[in-house]
Amino acid sequence: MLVFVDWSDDLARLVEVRDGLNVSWAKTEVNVYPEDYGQVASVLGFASANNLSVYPFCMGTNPVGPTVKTKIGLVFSRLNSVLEVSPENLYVSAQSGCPLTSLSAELDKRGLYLPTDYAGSMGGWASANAVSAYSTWYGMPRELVLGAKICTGDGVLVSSGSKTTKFSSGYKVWKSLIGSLGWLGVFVELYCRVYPKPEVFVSGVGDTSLLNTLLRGGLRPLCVWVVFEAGGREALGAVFGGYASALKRINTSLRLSEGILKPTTLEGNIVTVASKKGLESEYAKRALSVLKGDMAIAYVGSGVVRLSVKDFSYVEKARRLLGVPIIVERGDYNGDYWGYHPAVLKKLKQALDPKGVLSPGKFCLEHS
Amino acid sequence: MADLKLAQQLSLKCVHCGFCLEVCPTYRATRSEVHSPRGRIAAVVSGALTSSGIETCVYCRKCEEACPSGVEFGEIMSAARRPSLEQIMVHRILEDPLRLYNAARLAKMGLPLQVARRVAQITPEPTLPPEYSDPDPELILFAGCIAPVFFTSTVLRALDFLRQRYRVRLINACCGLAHYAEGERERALTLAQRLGDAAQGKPIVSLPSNCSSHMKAFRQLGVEVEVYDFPEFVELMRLPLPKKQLGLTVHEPCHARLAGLNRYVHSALERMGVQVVEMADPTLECGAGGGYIFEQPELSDEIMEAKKKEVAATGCDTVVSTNFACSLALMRMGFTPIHLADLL
Amino acid sequence: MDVRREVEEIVGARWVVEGEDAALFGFDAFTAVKRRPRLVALPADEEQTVRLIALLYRSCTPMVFRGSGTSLSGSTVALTGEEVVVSLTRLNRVYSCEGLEIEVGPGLANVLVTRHAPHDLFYAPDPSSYSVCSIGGNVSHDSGGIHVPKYGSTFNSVVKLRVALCDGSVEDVGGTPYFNGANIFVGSEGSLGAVLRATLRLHPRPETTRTVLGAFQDVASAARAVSAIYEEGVIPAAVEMMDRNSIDVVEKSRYKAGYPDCAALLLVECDGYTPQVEEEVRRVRLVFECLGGEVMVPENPAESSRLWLGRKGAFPAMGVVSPAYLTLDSIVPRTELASVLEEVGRIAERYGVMVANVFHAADGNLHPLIPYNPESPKSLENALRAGWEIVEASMRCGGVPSGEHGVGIEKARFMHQYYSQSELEVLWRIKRAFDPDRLLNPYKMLYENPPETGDRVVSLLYTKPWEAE
Ligand SMILES: Cc1cc2nc3c(=O)[nH]c(=O)nc-3n(C[C@H](O)[C@H](O)[C@H](O)COP(=O)(O)OP(=O)(O)OC[C@H]3O[C@@H](n4cnc5c(N)ncnc54)[C@H](O)[C@@H]3O)c2cc1C
Ligand SMILES: Cc1cc2nc3c(=O)[nH]c(=O)nc-3n(C[C@H](O)[C@H](O)[C@H](O)COP(=O)(O)OP(=O)(O)OC[C@H]3O[C@@H](n4cnc5c(N)ncnc54)[C@H](O)[C@@H]3O)c2cc1C
Ligand code: SF4
Ligand code: SF4
Repeated sequence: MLVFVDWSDDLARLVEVRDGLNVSWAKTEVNVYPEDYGQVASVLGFASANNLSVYPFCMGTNPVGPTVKTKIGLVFSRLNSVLEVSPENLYVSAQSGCPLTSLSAELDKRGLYLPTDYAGSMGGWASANAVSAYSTWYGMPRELVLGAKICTGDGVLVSSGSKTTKFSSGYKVWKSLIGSLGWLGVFVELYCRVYPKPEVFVSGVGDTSLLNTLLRGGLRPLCVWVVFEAGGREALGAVFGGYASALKRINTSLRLSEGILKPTTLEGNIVTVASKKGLESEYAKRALSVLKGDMAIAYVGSGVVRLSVKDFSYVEKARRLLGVPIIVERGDYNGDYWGYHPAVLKKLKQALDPKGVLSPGKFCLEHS
Repeated sequence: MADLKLAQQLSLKCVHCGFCLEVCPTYRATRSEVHSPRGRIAAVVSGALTSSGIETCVYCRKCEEACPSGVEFGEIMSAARRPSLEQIMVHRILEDPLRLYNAARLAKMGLPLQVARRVAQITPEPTLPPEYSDPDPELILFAGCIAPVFFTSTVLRALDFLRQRYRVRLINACCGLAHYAEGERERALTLAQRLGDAAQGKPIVSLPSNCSSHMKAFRQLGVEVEVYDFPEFVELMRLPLPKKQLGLTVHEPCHARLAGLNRYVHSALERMGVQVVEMADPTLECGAGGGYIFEQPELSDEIMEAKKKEVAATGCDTVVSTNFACSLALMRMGFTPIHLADLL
Repeated sequence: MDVRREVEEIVGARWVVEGEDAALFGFDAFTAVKRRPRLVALPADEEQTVRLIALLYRSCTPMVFRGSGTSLSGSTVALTGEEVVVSLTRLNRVYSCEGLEIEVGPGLANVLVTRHAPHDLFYAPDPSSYSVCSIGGNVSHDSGGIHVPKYGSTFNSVVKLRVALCDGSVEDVGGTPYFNGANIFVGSEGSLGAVLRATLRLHPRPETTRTVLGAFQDVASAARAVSAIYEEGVIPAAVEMMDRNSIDVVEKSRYKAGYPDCAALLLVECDGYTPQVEEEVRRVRLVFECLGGEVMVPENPAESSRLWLGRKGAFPAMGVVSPAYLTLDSIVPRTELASVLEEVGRIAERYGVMVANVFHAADGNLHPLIPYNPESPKSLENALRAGWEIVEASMRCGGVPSGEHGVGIEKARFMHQYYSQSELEVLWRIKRAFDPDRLLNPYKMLYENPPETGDRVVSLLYTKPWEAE
């Protein structure tokens, strides 16, 4: 049932309007489905002019941090095309609502791949700066997104960055949006770096004592992760990619087999710990014990540890003891989800979403 | 005489890339463009010769080695600099070891001059410079200016060593490097000629290696001499060397390095079976310069500070230094400098 | 109390430079513009720097942060002469090294990062100026280098930054998986705040590193070979191209590498796991041979390093043919390389300049070196105009004005061409949020009206493209 509010008629003249969401991870009064970038801009322009809050999302199953309640849900599901795949230049451009699964299928046809195992939309992937097992070697969206068309909170479309591997021609606005969960602006189109797909992948599991060799030795694994369980069990996984002739000579004392293994998926309440790069395992172990969690995954080399926890009662204690940013990624928490509040972000918010319409409350500016 | 035109002409080659900054001891100590090669060149180009950086250059010519554009920095500095009265005074004293001996004694007695105080602080007790000549000498042992007064035993050892095989004449004099570096180009030429005349075409074996390097470049001044650095001579002639059970580190004097002389020190030590603990960067400036150590106390101390850390990291107390100004600096840092000749 | 006295109180008299000496901080490696700053201050540490910035800001004094002054876009020049140069060279400590991270002061020279790292790790970004350029400068220009194809630019190696903002506050940003406040500072050319400290990512040293040189008789084949390498599944650590002019220059300089006589050469480096590298080298050779290239694989590390030193020395080696040159750094998709290089040739001919091309081919990052005579304003103007045309040609085929040297003074005019007015306004909004009074590195990167300096070259550089005749 469409909620009739005074502004929704005006909005409907700009873009298709439908029922809002009323789910655990977001509540919106109406949802809008722009079909081109101009419509995205006019929706945000309209929202800013009328002080209407907006939650941008796509497939909508990866809420990070506190849930938000907004007037408008800005849905990118219709902006879902792959625009260009360039095997020579090794980039792909796609609309932000494009599911990574369809993008991967498209890339696969040309012998390319985007190293991540994220399952949502391009925009969600970039906005969450989603870590994956591949972050060991390839980094996160922060490293992989070369440029983007974005829209500010008040509806200005900006091309920032490019399809080239480097860019020193003005502020990296698009990079600031990466990881910002749609709070600083939205992506409408992304340019990503892609790689020639390795001839073969080999994966293996083994003992955590191999960690240092994998991390600092000469083997150059693409993925390394370590899973720690509350009972004290720990297991290491790794993926290598390369030429068949090269990889058959690999000898790691891992139980290797062809194909790609993935770390287990975490369920329930999730906490992210920002570790020092290269020390993910140590931080994972400590965080698991301080947070009294069930399971921790150390994405080795990425600086990210994710844990599933029963509840969040030890978050503050963990922040004090570990001295690194600890974020409540998923679940209901009545404390501060982030634990950090840089003035730099406040300034960026002021510049990019001056009316503060995007996902209010997603990121709080002051300590509560 | 200072030749600003020439200096400016030579400076035009500089493309401001800054590749010379991090090798320059005064830049490393101050991290200021004023005391950097690039800054000094800019000062020369704009004619700002009163810039304090012009004075503070150690004249190690490390920047020249680092410069990809082939800027002849040594020539620029030498041509641009106008020596101060104090510098001229120091030069005149260095020219004659006897004068240096007397000056050093006065300094030790507390002459109330800044330079004198510094000399007293830095140098060991002066000794009357030794004199020696075999009849009809076939070889000159050139001891330079500092060694005869402050490192007399080294000079005597070198003399004894050479006398076992050759008829030797000892010359205590100044090669003119300090003059050349600090802008007294004509005087430097006079000294070169004087030395050329004194050598009478005989080969010169020189003890201080930076002087050796400078004398090897006399040809550019139009003076022909046949010069060997002491270790170079020892190695080229394959003179027999005693075996030594020693652990030490080796300092590579800057100008010796320019002339490629340091490798002879290493090969001689190897022949003697000496254990060398290499510094991470043996060429790191010691802060001595020529008269620099006396004229620029503050900066030279700061440069020494860095060198001291470098030497200390080797864990050695004994440092082979084939240049005596460097040896003074190393002594000030608390190490025991020795010349190759001291091991014979 | 006047500003000068207060500055002196903060940093000490020895660390204030003024008068003629200040002019020695008035230029960087962009040789076309020199201006004497009002004052130079060299703070000793973070605390002094923060106080200094707050003081200058409070007293409405424009300022320029400066590292080693090797910027090729003129980003450190005190354009109006009113600026105080804040030199961050003395902040060169190494604070800590843990895991794959090293924390350093902004004044530390790039080369020293690896030197302070554990022996099995290295810092990947390596601009050719690595022996001298500072980390603060690298961060502020998002500098590249030859290893970008595999390891990324400085951005990819920045984990965290400590920044000083104009109000005298200090903040640690970055190192967080979600909101990352460090991102905006990379490439911001000292116009948002000062970098006081950087935590950088280190990489494990490759087991094996191999170099392959391919000599081609035409530029198009060399350009084609660049994409073909990737099509073979090779991820090279570096792919550099040098054309005949740049080979000639290097061979005349002290970096003489003994390069073969050819129209264009490619220098490729493969590194990593030994069997993988062997296969990569085999395939690179194959690609070169198929495209008519002559292949040379150096026998030993000394020989490879000679080949690479030639490349690394190529910019400054220009000194042997000309005392001044411009180096642009527009970037184009790899597939456009051949046609853009042809266009560069035509432009060079039209302007009667010898353009040497030596560049990061895998990134499509052109580096046309355009010599000029610094004594002759005409010659400089000619070189500038030739350079502009090259940048415009790059933008026409989907390129970007600056890939790694930054906008600075040199490419400020292109901002008005590359961005629309509304896009520029968003950049200005960011600028104003951090620097409401526009005192941080004024006129660099962003400007509305040209600075009034009375300097002809400056006004030429600041003519918006549509205003130029
Ligand atoms: C129980 C559970 C477990 C899961 N586990 C995993 C897992 O382990 N790994 C994994 O990768 N995924 C996991 N997911 C998420 C899911 O598999 C997909 O990742 C999901 O479909 C993401 O959708 P999306 O990318 O469109 O993001 P959305 O949820 O639509 O958005 C994610 C964030 O990005 C912002 N955003 C989205 N689009 C834009 C845009 N264009 N511009 C600006 N901001 C935007 C949103 O505001 C939001 O903050 C899990 C989901 C659930 C419910
Ligand atoms: C011969 C030569 C070769 C080069 N090769 C390359 C190359 O291969 N790749 C490449 O990308 N570049 C190259 N460069 C360009 C240059 O070296 C880089 O841009 C370098 O990063 C500049 O560092 P710097 O310390 O000299 O910075 P500076 O020139 O001093 O400053 C550059 C910019 O950074 C700002 N800045 C400096 N420090 C700070 C700080 N602490 N906080 C805030 N802002 C600061 C300045 O305001 C200025 O805007 C080359 C330059 C030369 C001369
Ligand atoms: S000669 Fe030595 S001290 Fe003088 S500028 Fe060169 S490197 Fe620096
Ligand atoms: S290295 Fe040479 S060209 Fe570069 S700044 Fe120094 S002197 Fe000038």
